[in-house]
Amino acid sequence: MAEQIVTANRLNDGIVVYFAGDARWVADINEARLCPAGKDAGEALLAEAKTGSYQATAVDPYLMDVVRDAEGRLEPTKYREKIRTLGPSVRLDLGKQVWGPKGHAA
Amino acid sequence: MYRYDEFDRTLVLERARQFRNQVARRQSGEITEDQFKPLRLMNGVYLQLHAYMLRINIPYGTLSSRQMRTLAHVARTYDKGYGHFTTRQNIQYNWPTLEEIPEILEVLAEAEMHGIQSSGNCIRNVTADQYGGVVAEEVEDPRVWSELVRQWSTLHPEFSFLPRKFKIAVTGSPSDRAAVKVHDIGLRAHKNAEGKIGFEIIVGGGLGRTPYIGKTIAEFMPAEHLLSYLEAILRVYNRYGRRDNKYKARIKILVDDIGIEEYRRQADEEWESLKDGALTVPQEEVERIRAYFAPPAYETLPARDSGYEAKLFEDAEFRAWAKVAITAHRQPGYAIVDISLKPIGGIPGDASADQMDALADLADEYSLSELRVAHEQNLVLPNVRQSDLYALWQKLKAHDLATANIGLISDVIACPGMDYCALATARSIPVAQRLSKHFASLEKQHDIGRLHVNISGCINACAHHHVGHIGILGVDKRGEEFYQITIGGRADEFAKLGDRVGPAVSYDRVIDAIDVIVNTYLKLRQPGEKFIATVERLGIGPFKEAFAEENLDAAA
Repeated sequence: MAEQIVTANRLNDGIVVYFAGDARWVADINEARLCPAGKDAGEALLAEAKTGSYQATAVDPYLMDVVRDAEGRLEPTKYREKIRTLGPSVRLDLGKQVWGPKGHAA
Repeated sequence: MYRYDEFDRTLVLERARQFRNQVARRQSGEITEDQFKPLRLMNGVYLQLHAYMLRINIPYGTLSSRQMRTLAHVARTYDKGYGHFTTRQNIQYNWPTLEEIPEILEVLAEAEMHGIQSSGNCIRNVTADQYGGVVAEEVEDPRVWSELVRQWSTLHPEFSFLPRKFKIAVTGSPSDRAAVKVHDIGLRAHKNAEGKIGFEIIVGGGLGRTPYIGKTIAEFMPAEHLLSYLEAILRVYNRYGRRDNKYKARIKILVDDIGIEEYRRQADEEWESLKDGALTVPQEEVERIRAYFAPPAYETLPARDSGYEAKLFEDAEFRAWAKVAITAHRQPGYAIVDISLKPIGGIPGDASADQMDALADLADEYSLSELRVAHEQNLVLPNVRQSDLYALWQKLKAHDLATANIGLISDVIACPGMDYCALATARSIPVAQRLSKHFASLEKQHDIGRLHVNISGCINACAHHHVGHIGILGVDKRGEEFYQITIGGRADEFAKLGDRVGPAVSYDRVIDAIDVIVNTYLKLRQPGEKFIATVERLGIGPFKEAFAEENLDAAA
């Protein structure tokens, strides 16, 4: 079942970041704070992400759906978000995919 | 080439300094993203999926070798070693950091380039026929008038907050290479019976969500009235364009809504107060601008170079390239050379910093230091001696810039799509790459002949899919990429919107679908008949039938 996290782009360089709670924004999707179950919980998480001086780090936060893969890692459900977590599918040498083990090629 | 005057120079440098200040205020928290966004957009700074994107104008597609070296330098120093030439004669960098953009803008300003009005609801970069001033068939040089329109529209106080963006294209030739009928305003320079220059003014064309072919508002507007009449057209739009609904805010909707006759009546009425006023174009000003575009120092050469002709005879590979890459020049003994940025399997419109530097060197050596950018996402060396063509071709080959596919099926126009763009609903580049690999054989491509394929990754139609001979539109169907295919569109002087051949097909089947269309054409064409002519002769029927027979919308 899909769960939700909050994502945005980092102000200084535009790279994709995720809300990790406590006003922290992280580049690794697996450190993202998962929305607790319950009605309106997503909106509450988004509201929390949008507090304090979030604007100094994160541009235009929004909710996105994730599921866990076989190894328990978080994976976006939508193709667009998959591309955001990895980088361009046509330039495997660029973007986040060169940082970690799971690229488009996988 | 046009050189900045003091006014232009001051403006661009000031803008770069202002932007440095705006970025600092955004970083310090003094202004919010909502306040900053319109400021960055007015300087061509977008936020895409993975990073910021910086769009730089190349007005009417004209570049000096020096400017090309600056573009290469920016790609190498501030980006990831490449740039993307767009369908509006701009270049986009996909990875600049916000912190470095003010410095990039200063570097570009030194080479008389900028991103001002490359975004936002204003009059965008004026585009023009990439062969302006050099092509044999030309009636009038579109660069002169594009520059005049650029000066008029730059920071125009009344038109800085239009209902929506506004795009103007200019041609001065009978063959339209600037797609003037699918712009907000298209200008076609021509001569009247007395030999006087004037413009056919076409309004309300556009693609995107609701595509329209533009309608002629004036058959022949004498050149001195061009700016005052444009001002009148823009005023009517500024007043009545639908500011309440982004999707209905372009001028095409207004023109369609009230009709071209009524639009003309209102524009004419507005023009009453403007005609013969301050916007009348003085002949001296036209001549001043024209002087910047004076022909370079051509040599006096025979019309046909025997060495070149011998090479055409001897070398089949060179001949295949020359057949599609070379266009007749107005100066005897010279040629216009199209350079394909569509290597087989490559990313349409991308050029590496090394390729840009190589092209700047080749422009210095062979093209009187000048280059052009075509809206087909290719480049042009506009001033090459026929006697240099063989040597040039060999050097282009060494830089993977001599693919003999200009105007052929693998010369695909593709937007960045979902690999980069925040608006996209599907990928376009990998579809272009697969298509290009599928039809990799140049022999096969030359047999198929002229065939324009345009692939957009969303309804906004940056790749002009509605006017592709084959148009492909990527859509999202429950999280999966699907592609709607149209045929019979064209962007030239006979502009027409394509028709759907069948239901949308999956990412996996899209190449099969193109194959069916191409094979249907090959089966039904008459000797020497081009794809678009076959579609126009037979209609869409046989293609629809072939499409349906293959069950292309079923799972693979």
